[in-house]
Amino acid sequence: MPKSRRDFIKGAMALSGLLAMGGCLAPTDKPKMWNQGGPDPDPVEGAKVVRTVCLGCHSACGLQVKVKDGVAIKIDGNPFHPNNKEDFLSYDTSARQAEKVNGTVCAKGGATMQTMYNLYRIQHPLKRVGPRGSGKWKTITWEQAYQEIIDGGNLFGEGQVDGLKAIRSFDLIDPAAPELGPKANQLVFMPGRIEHGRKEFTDRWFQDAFGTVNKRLDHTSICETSHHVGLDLCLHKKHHIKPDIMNCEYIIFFGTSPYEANFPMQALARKLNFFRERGGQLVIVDPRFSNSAAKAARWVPILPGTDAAFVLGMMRWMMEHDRVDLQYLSFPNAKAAKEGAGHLTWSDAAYLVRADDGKLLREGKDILVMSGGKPMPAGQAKTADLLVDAQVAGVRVQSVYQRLVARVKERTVKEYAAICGVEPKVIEREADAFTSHSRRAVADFYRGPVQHTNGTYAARTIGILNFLIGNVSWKGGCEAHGGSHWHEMGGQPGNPYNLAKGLHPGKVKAKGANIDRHKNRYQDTSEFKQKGYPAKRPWFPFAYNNVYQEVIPSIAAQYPYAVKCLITYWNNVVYSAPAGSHQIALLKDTKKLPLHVAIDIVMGETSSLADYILPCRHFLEDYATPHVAPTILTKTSGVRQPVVPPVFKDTKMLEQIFIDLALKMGLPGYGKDGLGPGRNLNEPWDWYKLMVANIANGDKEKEAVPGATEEERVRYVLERGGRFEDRDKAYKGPYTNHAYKGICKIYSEELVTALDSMTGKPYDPLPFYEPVRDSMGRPLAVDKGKYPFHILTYHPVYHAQARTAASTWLMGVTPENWVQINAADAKTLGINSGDVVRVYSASNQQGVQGKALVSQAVRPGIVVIPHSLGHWQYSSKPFDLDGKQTAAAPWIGRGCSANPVMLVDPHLKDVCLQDPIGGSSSYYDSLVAVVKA
Amino acid sequence: MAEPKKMMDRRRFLKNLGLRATALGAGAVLVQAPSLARATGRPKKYGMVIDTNRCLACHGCTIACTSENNVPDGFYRSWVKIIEKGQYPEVSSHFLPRLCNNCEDAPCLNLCPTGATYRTKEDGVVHVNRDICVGCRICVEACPYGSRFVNPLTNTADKCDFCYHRISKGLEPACVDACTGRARIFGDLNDPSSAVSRYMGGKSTQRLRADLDTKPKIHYLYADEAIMGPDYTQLLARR
Amino acid sequence: MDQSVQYIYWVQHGVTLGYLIGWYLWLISLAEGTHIVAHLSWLYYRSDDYRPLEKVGTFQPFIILALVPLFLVADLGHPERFYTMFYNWHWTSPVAYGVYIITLCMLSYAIHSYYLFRPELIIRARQAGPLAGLYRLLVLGSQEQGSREELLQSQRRRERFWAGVSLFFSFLGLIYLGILLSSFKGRVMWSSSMMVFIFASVGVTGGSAFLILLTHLKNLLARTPAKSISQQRHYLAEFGIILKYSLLAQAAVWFVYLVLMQYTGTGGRLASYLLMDGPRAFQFWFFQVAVGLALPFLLTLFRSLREKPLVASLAAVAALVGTLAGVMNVFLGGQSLPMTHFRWEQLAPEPGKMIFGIVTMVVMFGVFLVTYRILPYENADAQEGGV
Ligand SMILES: Nc1nc2c(c(=O)[nH]1)N[C@H]1C(S)=C(S)[C@@H](COP(=O)(O)OP(=O)(O)OC[C@H]3O[C@@H](n4cnc5c(=O)[nH]c(N)nc54)[C@H](O)[C@@H]3O)O[C@H]1N2
Ligand SMILES: Nc1nc2c(c(=O)[nH]1)N[C@H]1C(S)=C(S)[C@@H](COP(=O)(O)OP(=O)(O)OC[C@H]3O[C@@H](n4cnc5c(=O)[nH]c(N)nc54)[C@H](O)[C@@H]3O)O[C@H]1N2
Ligand code: SF4
Ligand code: SF4
Ligand code: SF4
Ligand code: SF4
Ligand code: SF4
Ligand SMILES: [Mo]
Repeated sequence: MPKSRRDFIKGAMALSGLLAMGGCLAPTDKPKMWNQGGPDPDPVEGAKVVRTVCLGCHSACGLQVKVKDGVAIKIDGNPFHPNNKEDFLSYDTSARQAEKVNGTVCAKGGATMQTMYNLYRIQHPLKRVGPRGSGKWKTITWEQAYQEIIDGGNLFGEGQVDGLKAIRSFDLIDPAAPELGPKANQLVFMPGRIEHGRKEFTDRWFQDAFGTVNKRLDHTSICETSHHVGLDLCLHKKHHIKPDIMNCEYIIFFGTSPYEANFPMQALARKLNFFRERGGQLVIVDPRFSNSAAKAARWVPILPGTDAAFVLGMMRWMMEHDRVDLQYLSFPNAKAAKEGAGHLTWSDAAYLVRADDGKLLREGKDILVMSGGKPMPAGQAKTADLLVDAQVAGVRVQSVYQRLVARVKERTVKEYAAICGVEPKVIEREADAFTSHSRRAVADFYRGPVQHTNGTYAARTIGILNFLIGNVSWKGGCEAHGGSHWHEMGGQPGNPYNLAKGLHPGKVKAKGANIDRHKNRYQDTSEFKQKGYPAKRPWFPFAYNNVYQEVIPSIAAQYPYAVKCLITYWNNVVYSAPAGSHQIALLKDTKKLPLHVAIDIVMGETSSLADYILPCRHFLEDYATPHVAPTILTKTSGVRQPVVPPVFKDTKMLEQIFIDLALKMGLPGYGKDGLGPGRNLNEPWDWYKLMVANIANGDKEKEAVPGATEEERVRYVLERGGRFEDRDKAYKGPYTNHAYKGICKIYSEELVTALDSMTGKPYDPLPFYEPVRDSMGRPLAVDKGKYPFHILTYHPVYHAQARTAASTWLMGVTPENWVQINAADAKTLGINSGDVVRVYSASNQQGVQGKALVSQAVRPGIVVIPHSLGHWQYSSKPFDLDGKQTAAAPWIGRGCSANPVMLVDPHLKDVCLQDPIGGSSSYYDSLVAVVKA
Repeated sequence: MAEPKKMMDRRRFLKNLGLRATALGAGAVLVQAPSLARATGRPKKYGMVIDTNRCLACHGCTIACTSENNVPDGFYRSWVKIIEKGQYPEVSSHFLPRLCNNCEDAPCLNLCPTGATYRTKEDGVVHVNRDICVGCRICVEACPYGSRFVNPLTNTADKCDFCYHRISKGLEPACVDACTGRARIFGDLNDPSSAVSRYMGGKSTQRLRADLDTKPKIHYLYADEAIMGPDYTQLLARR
Repeated sequence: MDQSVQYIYWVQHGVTLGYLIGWYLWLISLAEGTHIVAHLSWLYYRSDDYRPLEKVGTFQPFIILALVPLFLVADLGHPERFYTMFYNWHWTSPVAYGVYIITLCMLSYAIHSYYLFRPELIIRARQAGPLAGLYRLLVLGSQEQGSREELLQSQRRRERFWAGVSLFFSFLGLIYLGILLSSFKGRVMWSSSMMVFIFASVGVTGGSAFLILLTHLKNLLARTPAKSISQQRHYLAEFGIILKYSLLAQAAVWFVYLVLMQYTGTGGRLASYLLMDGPRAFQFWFFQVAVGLALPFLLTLFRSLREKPLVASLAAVAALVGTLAGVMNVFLGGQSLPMTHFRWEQLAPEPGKMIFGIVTMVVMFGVFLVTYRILPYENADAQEGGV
């Protein structure tokens, strides 16, 4: 009998290696649960401790992994990491000594070893042998995979397929539309989850070495893009706010469950506990009674998609009750704000807006404000008039604040309340409470308000609510910067290696339009000049992240150009995106998409639709330099490093795959002197050691960690799982230490001057409530009689994304009944808890089936299906490998997912509803019907 | 609940029975006894306070415990009971982290026919001696808290022992270390300066099934009565 | 319902101890009850022609007790450690005593049986026959001379001593069963002073029924001399009366138990609901009450009926089914009341154990039948007279 887990794992691994010469387990072998190796607890002493960074969810907590004989036996929290411990260890604590102390680790983090030792992982490169998506595969060597992907040929007996070599051409795709760029753009890289270190590495490969603009079209738009874009349109180059929880007094969270998700889930939960114990008031606005609502002073079950209206209502009450910090708003520049009332930020409230074109009134470069009734450059006034409606040089101008007041007054609190489906007094109460704590009150939000067609507006509206009380950058206020991180890409005075700018011999320049048209203006295209509005598919000039859900539909539509090869990595768009299942058919079309290479660790739903699957590493076997959210106020640079040797030997780290490909293709910047003279790039560590060296040496000069040589300094950082600023550096006087010091914009000139590619109309520059719409700007028309329920989804605290269902531990704590429906609704429909129900929509009549959870803890008219369940691949069913059926674990596919029933855009028909500004996919606007199955 | 396959390897286990002789508790006691108990002059009373106001039902403890102690799938030394209460919109959710109470008057111990279940005198932790346990499950039945199960790998009774392999080395139990909400505080209830005593302060705590007089050493704070015990209302209502 | 509670996550613990242990308890109660009825009747009649029945009532329980530990062993996680229960002895645990009580009880039955059979065996051993060797062995090669009367006379004191001891253990056994269950203080359904009475009444009912059944079987199979049959008819009828009254007693005990449960908080109410209206209602009303109490009561109510072997056997079987259902209802039902959540605990199917249990019971019965053919149940004179 194996005496311990490690013996067992070794045995199991050896066994699976033996039995499965192919890519996965042999059909007859029933994999054993790896954790049940030994009845004894694993040893406390005698194990090696490796510190790394978690990717259970995306919160980037530190992990302290115990390793015995090369097997990870227990995962704890890294006590050096601020996510994991409120009183995290000071950085100079001995790394050995620190092994006695653990930080916290959540369920997902602790269970990631199960997803690493998942016996259903892909173990060798696979090539499809049947039609794409038929589930028939054969094992091939890496050499064969590389050769075929690079050289192309008649790879599948279906005709000629271009390989990477042929695709890498710098001739224009369409000489008539030079703005589309060269043919190299026909290679698209679409990772789902990808983190710092690797982001930059792949950008360097795709953009700077291969020459495609379609680098890293990652999943942010199915995550929270409009949150970022909306805030970015309020703050200067900052796109994430968080309350300074430890010193705040009142927090209203819109559409987020900080006790279950958000970033970093653990730290939020812990800090909010201390916050509440101090007497802090927590308010949760969410149609669903989340675990956070359970901890809150008040729960506001708002109608989905109406957060902006709620906030506008609050603003109205605040304006009418003199609760707006008019003094703050009247400071028109940094100096005035600092000297006038100690603010580190200022606002545009007094800026003058032209009535004719909506642009700001400028004199030369200077934006003008009215001060004492006279126009004056904003930079020069000590204070400015807030309410202005005047003529300046024959142009009617109004101050931003004047426009805001007008906007807010378009409706009464009662009318706003009616939109939100709440009592007016609820809005008034929160407006009152929000403005009763000076600057120690914060309004924050995450996915709930933004993954809607009106997401960017909602994000801006909520962000701006904070500006009205001038709380940004204050201790206890709204944090818009956070501790941030050391610059691993270099470029700061202390950094030895400038990876961001240099160290890439032979670098090429990529040009042209992105396949998802993010950051591209339709108005700049030849197509626009010929056809005008609407565009064939929407363009997203503001979506600076990407528009993930558009990638495959655009490839299928060959718009704006045809694509020849799609490389997906850590990607599961068909499972994770709303209405993603509609993309299955698109992916199967080999005419439109001749080559699909998936890089994955498992047979994910999307990878199952690839031509090749290249097996890569689990995050515990990977490097990266992930960043943390502004929840953390001290500088934090976690470093991920492999904690154990690769569990499956024939898998490769993503970086290695691309280095191999680059070397075989002769791409510039790899191999000998790949990172500049004397610095080779032959393996991932060649890249990461420079990044860690940058972190170790620090941004400023003389900021290096202890160590005589660079090697020692790098080791110092690795031993601690990253570099962490000490706790006492969180604050500086009345401010947070690394505070944002910029403008807070109520008015967005960018938005009002941009025209939507489909409607040709400008966007709204102010806080704004827009009802749910389709890509043509039409209000969504769904028959409420046929589809009476609004479907929502969320992240349960013990699951993350598409990747936790493979853990028996996490599935063990997942209840069976999970289609949550309000008890009154259930009664009408005759549904009892545990009944199997079918949820379907106009876009998916077949729908999904799951067990009902009849519950009082959700607003009537809402059904909720949490994320992470309902896999239909992921080895929940077998596939065909080398002529044999692989083993499968049906329990991985337990439950159901909301995504397949989410609505497609009525105009585009192959993609979900989207926010035309931020590019967010809509998760919370779909209407469905529920019946007993 | 999920039923990921329960796997047991009885055969291989039996073969090695003789080899493995780590009376976990007994061994540790020898190490523990002189240094700890004697030094303070009086026995310790290890216990835990769980602040349910802090618990967010994240199951971090469940997984940490399972992982630390190699608890087989489908069995739990530690878990979190979760209920919803009330009527929309006046609803509340309640979370109750559960583990063995290491009772001062433990029915499991009293009814164990072999004495495999025993209590360490130095600190009051209730253990199972796997070398003696015959696997009769009387203790499983006797525990009024559902804290026990028969481990399919050892075929002996199993339960939380406050991570004795850790606490006897001066470390915190795994679930306490992992607890994201900092809801679990562990230590010597007899020592007024211990973290657990200080946390309880003068507060009056709740214990499960106080009516049974088992003197549980897990103390709860701010727990809702509805989640504390069994609930027969639904069963009775189905008449 | 002023507040609705929805359970989102909890751990279902299941019914831990299953049918094997249920049978174990029932068989012990049966063995003890049989011996008690058989031996008390002896004390009452003290008539020689009763002896065959006392043999039935002592030897069959011995077989049960000899085989019943198999149920316990088979149910252990570590069957090979069963014997350690004799020396790893924990004084606060009823089961620790129980292991001894049942073992000693079994031994005392064995010795008692030995004396009961001894005169006939010695006589048989003297005769030539296919089984003479066996009989010689069974009397440990005793060559003792004398007639049956003399033999009886010479062993009287020892026999009576062991009879007393075995009776003592019989009572102890029944009390033990009651105490065993009532010692589980968290289990509402068990933690009741009525447990001892329940097992006592169940034991006596089962015992008298068993005696009737076994005697009829014996008479059927053992080619019992007609004289004996007629002698025993009287006693069988008397057993019928005992059965009748023990059924009444049992009914009273259950009634009191249910009434007490009604006043033992919600847990107790749930327990009585469980039996009367809940998941075990069918087992309760049909098997326990209708088949187990009412039917045998009716069948034994009138002399004319209870003296018919077939009717009496039927009544006996019904009463036995009833006691088995009663024990299972309390034992499994008591475990199905949740202790930490809100749903009935379920017994996971244990096909392996079920098969083992059934096979063992069949074997037990087979042993009974075989012993009828080979052991001298009837008094020597009666037998000789019959030959
Ligand atoms: N219904 C519903 N859908 C949602 C959400 C929701 O709340 N509800 N949330 C959305 C959000 S916020 C996000 S961020 C997205 C995330 O969506 P995704 O990016 O699709 O999810 P991931 O789980 O990160 O991984 C995708 C795939 O990567 C592969 N993979 C898993 N683990 C590893 C690994 O360790 N290494 C490598 N190389 N590959 C791995 C698997 O094939 C997995 O299916 O999902 C979105 N989808
Ligand atoms: N446990 C766990 N934690 C995670 C992750 C994970 O997978 N698991 N993933 C991480 C990632 S990638 C992300 S993006 C974050 C997400 O962090 P969050 O945004 O906090 O997570 P969600 O669960 O998506 O929460 C969205 C909430 O909004 C509510 N909601 C839906 N529509 C509306 C609306 O119109 N208005 C309002 N007010 N509320 C609405 C939903 O009911 C849901 O409770 O979490 C991160 N942390
Ligand atoms: S919160 Fe997310 S990142 Fe942190 S430990 Fe848990 S799973 Fe890992
Ligand atoms: S909780 Fe149960 S198992 Fe733990 S000591 Fe008390 S009775 Fe025994
Ligand atoms: S299972 Fe083991 S510990 Fe439990 S009562 Fe039986 S012998 Fe004692
Ligand atoms: S103290 Fe240890 S054994 Fe007990 S519940 Fe916590 S982790 Fe599990
Ligand atoms: S880890 Fe802590 S907060 Fe999380 S469920 Fe367990 S006790 Fe509650
Ligand atoms: Mo996300």
